Parts: sequence; C-alpha cells; structure tokens
Amino acid sequence: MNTGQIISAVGHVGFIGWLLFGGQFDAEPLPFEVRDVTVISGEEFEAMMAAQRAPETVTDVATPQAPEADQPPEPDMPSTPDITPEQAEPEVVETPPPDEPPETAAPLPQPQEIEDRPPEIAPPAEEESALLVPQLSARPQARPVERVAPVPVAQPPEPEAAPDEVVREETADTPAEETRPEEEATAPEESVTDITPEAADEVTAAPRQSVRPRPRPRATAQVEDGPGADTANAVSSVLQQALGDESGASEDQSTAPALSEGEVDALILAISNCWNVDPGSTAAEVTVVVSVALNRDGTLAGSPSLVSAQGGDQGARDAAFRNARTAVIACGRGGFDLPQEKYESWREIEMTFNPEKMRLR
Amino acid sequence: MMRLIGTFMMMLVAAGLFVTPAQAQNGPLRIEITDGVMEPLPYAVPDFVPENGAASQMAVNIARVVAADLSGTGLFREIGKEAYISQITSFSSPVEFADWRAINAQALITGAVAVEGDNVTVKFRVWDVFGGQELGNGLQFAGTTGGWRRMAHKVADEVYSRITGESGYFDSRVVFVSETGPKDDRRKRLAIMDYDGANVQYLTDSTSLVLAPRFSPTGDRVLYTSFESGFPRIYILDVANVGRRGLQSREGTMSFAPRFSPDGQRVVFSLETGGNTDIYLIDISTGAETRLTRAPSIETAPSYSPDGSQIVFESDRSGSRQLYVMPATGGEAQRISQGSGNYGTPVWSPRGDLIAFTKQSKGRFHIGVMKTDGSAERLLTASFLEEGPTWSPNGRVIMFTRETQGAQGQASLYTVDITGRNLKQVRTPDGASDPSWSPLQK
Amino acid sequence: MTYLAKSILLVAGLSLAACTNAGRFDNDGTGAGAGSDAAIAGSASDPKSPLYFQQAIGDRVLFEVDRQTLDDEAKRVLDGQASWLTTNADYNVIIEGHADEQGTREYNLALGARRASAVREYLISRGISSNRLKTVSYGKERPIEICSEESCYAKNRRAVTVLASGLTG
Repeated sequence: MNTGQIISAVGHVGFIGWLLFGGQFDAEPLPFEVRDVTVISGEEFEAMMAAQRAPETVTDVATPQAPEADQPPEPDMPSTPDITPEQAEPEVVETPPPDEPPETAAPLPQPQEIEDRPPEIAPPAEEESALLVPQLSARPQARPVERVAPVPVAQPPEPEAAPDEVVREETADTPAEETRPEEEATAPEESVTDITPEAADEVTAAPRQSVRPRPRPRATAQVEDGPGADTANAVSSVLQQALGDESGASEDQSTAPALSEGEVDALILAISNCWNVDPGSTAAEVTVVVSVALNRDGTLAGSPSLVSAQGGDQGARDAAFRNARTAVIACGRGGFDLPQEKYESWREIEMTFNPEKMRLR
Repeated sequence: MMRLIGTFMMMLVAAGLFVTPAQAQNGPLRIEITDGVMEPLPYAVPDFVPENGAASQMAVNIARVVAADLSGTGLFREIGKEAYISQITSFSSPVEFADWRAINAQALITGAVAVEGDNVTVKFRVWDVFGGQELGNGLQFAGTTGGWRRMAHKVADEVYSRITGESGYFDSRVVFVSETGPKDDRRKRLAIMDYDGANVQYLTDSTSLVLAPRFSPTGDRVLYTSFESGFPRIYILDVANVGRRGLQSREGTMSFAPRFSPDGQRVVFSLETGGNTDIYLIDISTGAETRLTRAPSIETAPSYSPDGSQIVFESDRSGSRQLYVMPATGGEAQRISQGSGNYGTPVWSPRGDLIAFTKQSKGRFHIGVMKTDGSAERLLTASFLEEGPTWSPNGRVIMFTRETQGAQGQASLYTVDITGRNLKQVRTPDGASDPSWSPLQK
Repeated sequence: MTYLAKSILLVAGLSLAACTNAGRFDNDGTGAGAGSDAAIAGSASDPKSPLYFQQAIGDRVLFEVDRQTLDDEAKRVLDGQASWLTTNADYNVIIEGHADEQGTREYNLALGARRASAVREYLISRGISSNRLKTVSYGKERPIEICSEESCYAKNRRAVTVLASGLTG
C-alpha cells in the first residue's frame, strides 16, 4: 500500500521530470497576479434606473493591481486589498441633460424578468440551420486515407523498371502498374485523388468544397533553407531513388540508411492525426518549425523545441507552437513507429507544421 | 539541349514534389505536416476549491460558467468529471500532469474561490498539460457576489486568451430589440444582456417603435432609431444612467441606420429627404453635418473600418443592392460584393480583416463574410429570413437576427463561428432582433 | 409634444369625424366611429368623412417588389385622394410608406420612404399643396398581413395616406 503510493509518486515525478526535460521544471513558486473586477448586480442596476443616475457605471474599470504574490500561492491571500465595495459611493455622474424628461424612467427592469441563469442554448432546428460549410468537418477524416495514398506512388520501383523519373509522375494515373510492391498497394484509388490538382476550386462565393490536399508537400527544404538551397542534394537523392536503390544513400558521407518514402509518410500521417488546427484562429496563420529529438525506441527525448515561426503575432505563434508540441507529445506517447536500424536518420527531426491549406481567414 | 534542360527542370519539379528522405543524412530529418484534424480542444475544469464554507456553491457556479463559456465557443470540449484520475482538492498542490494527459486533457483550469460577506475573490491557473507547464501566471479577481457571473466570464476570457493567443469575448454584453406581440402589432423595446443571454434589462419601454441599437466603441453609449416623434430619428443613450437625447435632425427628413466612428466622436447614418436616402456624418459634440454620398439611389447601412479610414455601405445604384467601400471622408466608392443576389447591412470586423453581411438570394437569406476587397466570400448560414450581423469583440463570432416564417413568425438571436460552425440560438425571454455586441468590458 | 401625438389629440378632441386612428398604422378600414354625435356625419357614406376617404376612395396604393412606381390603378386611387383633399382642405396627410418583410430593415426603411415620396409627388402634381403632405416610412415594421407569402407581401408593399387634422398645420 504505502510502497505502492511511493512507487506511484516516484513514477509520477519521474515522468513529469522526464517530460519537462531540460530542467525547466520550475520548483520555485509560481507567479501570481491579482486583479479587481468591478461588477454591478441586477439590484444595483434597478436602483440606478430608478434614480436615473449612475452610482458607478458598469464599464467602470477595476484597475488591475498586480502584487506578484511571490510566495507559494497560499489559500488566504491576505494581500488582496479590495479597493472598494463598488456601489458604496454613488458618485454622481454628469447626466447629459435630456432635452425632455426621458420617459424611459418608467420602464424599469422588472426583477422577475431578470434571469440570472445561463440560458440554455437550444440547438437550432435542423432544417433551419442549413450551414453551408459542413464540408469542413468532413475534412479531417478524409485526410489520413489520402495520406496513405501517396505511398505507392512514391515507392521506388523495382530496379528493372528503369527509365522512370518521368514514369513516376504518371504512375498515379496508372495504378495498374505491376511493378508496385504489393505491401504498399493499400489504396490505389486514393492515389488518384491525391494527384488530381483541384485545389483550385476554392474560388469564392457559395459553399466551398472541402479543399483537396495538394500533392504531398514534403519539400520542407524551402521553408528552412530558402528555395534551392538543397536543390542539388534533392536532385541527387531523387535521382538515387529514381534509380531504385534506397541503399544507395549509403554513398553519402553519413552511413545511416534513410527512411523510405513510406516510412516518412507514415510518420507524417501519425502526426497529422494528432495535430489539432482551428482554421478560424490566428494560430492558423502561423507556420512553425519544431525540433524533435527521439530515443532509439521512438519515444521523445525531451520536449519538442521551437526552431522558427512565421506569420501571426506573438500570441498566435505561441499558440501555434503549443499546438504543434501537443501533437508531437500526444502522438509520441507510446513512441513513434520507426525502424531502429535507421535510427541515425531520425534521431532528430525538424517538423514543419504548415496550416496554410486549412486556414479559413 | 532543350531536352536536357527539360529533363533538368523535371528533376527539379520532382525534387520539389517528392523530397527526399535521403537528406536526413545531412542533418535532421525534415518533414512537413500540412493536414491536421479540426476538433474542439479537450480541457478539464474541476470545480474550483472553496476556501471557506460560504464559497462552496459559488466555487461550483463559477467553474460551471467558465466551462459554459469555453465549450460554448465550439472550440473547446470539456472532459467530464467522471473521467478524472486525480482530483483538485487544493489550489496550491502540484498538478499531476500525467493524470490529465492520460485522459487527454490538453488544458486544465484550476481555481479557488473565497467569499467574505459581499466580496468574492476568484483565483485560477491555466495549465498546458502536454507541455507540462503553467500557461501564464496565476491570476486573482476580486469583486462582489452580485457580479459573480462577470468574474467567471473574466476567468474564461483569460483562459481563452492564454490558450488561443487571441482575446476572448465572454465578459461582454449585447444590446438588442426585445419583441413581444403578434406580427401585426409588434411591441419593441431596447434591452441589454450579457453575451450569453443572462441578466436581461430593459432600456426603453415599448410605447414607440425602436430599431437597431448600436454600441459605441467603448460600450458606454448606444445609438438607436426611434419613432417616438412620429418619424424615425436617431437617439443616443447613455448606458450607465439610461439618459438619452436625440441627435440633431431636420424637419421633414428621416434619419436611421446609425453607427459610431471608431473614436466615438461621430455618427455615420442614413438620412432620407424627398424619398432619397444618402449617407451623412454628424459630429456628436458640434452637430456639424457632412454629406458623404450624393446619388439618387438608396445608400444606407454604413459601417466604419476599425481604423476609421473607410466606410462600407449598401447601395442599389447598380440596380441590385450591393456593398461598396468609400473613404471615410466620402468620395468615390468601390463596389466589393460580386455575387448574384442582394447584399445588405455590411459590418466591418473589429479585427479589420473581414466584412460580415446579409445576403438575400433565391428567396433565402444568409449571413456571410468576405474579405474587405470583396474576395473570398463565404456564406455561413441560411434560412427564411436573417439579417443584421454583429461581431464579437474579438472578431471570431457573429450574432444576428433570424426570423421564422409565417403568421406566427418570431425573431430570435443566433450566433455562428466565422468558420460556419457552432450555430446556436441565444436564449432571450421574448423575441429578439437587431443585436449589437459590446466591446470587452474592462 | 410630438407632432403625431398632437394630431391624435386634435382629431379626437374636435370630434371632426370618426377618427382615423393615427395611432394605429395598420389602417384596415374598420376605424370604428367613436363620436356619438358624429355617427351619421362621419359614416362611410358621408363623402366628407375620413371613413369615406379610406373606404370609398381608397387610402392606399400597392407596389411591385423593390419598386416605387405608381401603376394605373394607383394613379386612379391617388386622383381620387387628390380631389377629396382639394374639397376637404382642412385635412393634412401623412403618407406612410411600407415594405414587405423580404429585405433588410434599413433598406426597407429607405424603400418605404421612396414609396411615400412617390405618392407625395403625385399628389403635388395633382394640385395638393406640398405643405399639407408629410411622409414617413415604416419599412417592414408594420405589416397588415402577416403570412409569409406573396399574397400578403403584395398588400404590405403599400403607401397609406393617413388623414390628420389640418388645424395642426
């Protein structure tokens, strides 16, 4: 019993410590701030209406006083010098002289009409609501499937299917291609969906179609290093792939074997499913790049850190980073499913979270 | 040669499209995620901890209002108590992040309430559960028991703002027209309430017809149109003391559709004379009047851009009602609405990025938004009759009037998120129309 | 005191006729006679009575959707109104413009004003002095028919000539 608790406590502390990695576990008392809220009650309002002058307006500002209670937040908080009981001193506000005695004195708010209960919000009748954008909600579900699709397309063909940089672009339309390894043949029909470039139909007016995903953007190089910086590399590696030999990567300086296209896609898909984006938010205006360090078992080695953020104001950037970090942590809880023999190639990952396609404002 | 170049180009394209896991060799593996899910963010708000006996009910009530505010946005989903692994029994105890992570709570709000006589203090913290850290600092609000709902709204605003990076809209009010009686003998009076429909209070009686109240930029005054003189005329009402006065107007004219300028010093409105309606500007303190449009067509429903430099309005100069933008000093107007149908009551978003409007098309009404140049029009709602959008103070939500069809038709208020989701009715004691959303209260 | 209130009081106080109740704008022709002494003189058969104006001549004209154009039927009614007003010079009028519910509040106010103004211009063209004619628009706020169909809308798109005592002039 006791031991159990101890173990649990130790476990929890250890877990927290691990997640907070990097020693940001702040043991020091959390900062605290105090503000007064000046509020007016229904009764006060009534009295005010009756008197036709304001003791104190509803909009009266309670000055935020912020004594940073720097000791551990004690329940008593004796430091809160409540400025005033607001309604205490009815200071006469200058009343703009009405051109005639306002008859509105009469319509006093009847007390029984003042509901202090939160009104229940009834869902609108269905035939009335007729939202024109329900397609949006369908979107997230559709994604994963489409994510899978590209895999076969990009899969390096068998060596003998030689002349193929060109062919590979067309494969999508010709799923009959036998060169495709069957283990990847999961979703041939989606691959077609994925290629058709109809993202352009989001014109204006009227209900929009849900936006089709564009061809898989894995070209993070542009975001990071500026266009073209890695082009040479990219080209050579594409060539390598084209030649159908992923182990050809070992010709590079480093010896680590690279992840296959399919493995990368699976990783992207996993994180996509954990990345929650509010398309109406300012955070959706921000593209963040997050650095993630992984252990050999695929678990996170520390909390993801922010590499860069583009677009939005600071609040939006912070929120965008938190969303990305949450996605990685939530997804990585049980460890990412990555091939251990290629650990060197994924021990550190830079993930770009680009919500551009989902954005709604 | 051309062929070579072509091949090279193709390789470039290929490189752009299918980068290259192989680059992992030269540094970190780089991937880009462009698709996410759109789900309300799961959060937990355990009952706040009562710090004395008198606070026990209040502690529960405040947490419930906070939850209602957050979940009401459609952007957050509360995780029920039954799922909790650990309980919050003390405000100062450390948070067991793992327990909250296990139930997938991404945000956790803890709080405590003390009640001493008429005074209430609420303190709270917001936790980024997956980040394993506090979001911002603990904060305490002090107020009176009578204003506990406002304090709860303030807590919710703060939480919203910390999580989203945007300001909230819960501690705000709505002025609107309360409607009773049958369609052919409808009684209307001005009323004001909290944004969520609580605390309804009436500002005028129903002896004369009143229309379309509009909050001032600071929420202290309300413009509205009343027929109390027998003719539509604009009045300005002081919310604090319910005193009101008529804006100067000329005999034989009608004035209506007023809105404040962003500095609160002037009112832009429609003035009708001899059957022709144009847009005018009046300085509230001096009474100086400026005519901004000069056309035989109807020009009405003007609304300022938040920076005060432009005015969007409705005009039928093209034969149908369309939206136009002109400089705030008058002058040439650009038509921005391009679709078919009739557009009306444009309202500039407080964030400046969008214009909400009413659209009438094929026998239906819609509330929609477009960019300020008229592009990217999106219709958010549709029904038999709806109109008069007003923006939440943070530009995220639109409230509007929806009226049901037929002899028993009733008007009521609805809200919808700018993504078109989360359409909801705002409960009011009677019929309600013409909402105007206040700024966030201070 | 407001102009309208004055009109109402004077009309009632002078018992000029079974009053056209200026306080209710949905004139439905049943403006029941009130003054007991005026029962005969004010009846609909008395050509000098407001009831006669309302019922026999017709106090309203109707419009097409979004239009303020007067058709032949409207002009015939207005011709009748003009000659009645010429004979009964004691009366001033307020012309109320109305719209159906299909349209925004603001636009309908402006549209009603256009309709009222069209009637006013026509009456002026028929010799009625402009200072006897005031206009007001109620937009879609005062329907007389409440169904949401064209049959009702057609009756709501109207301009009503409401008599007021000329003594308020």
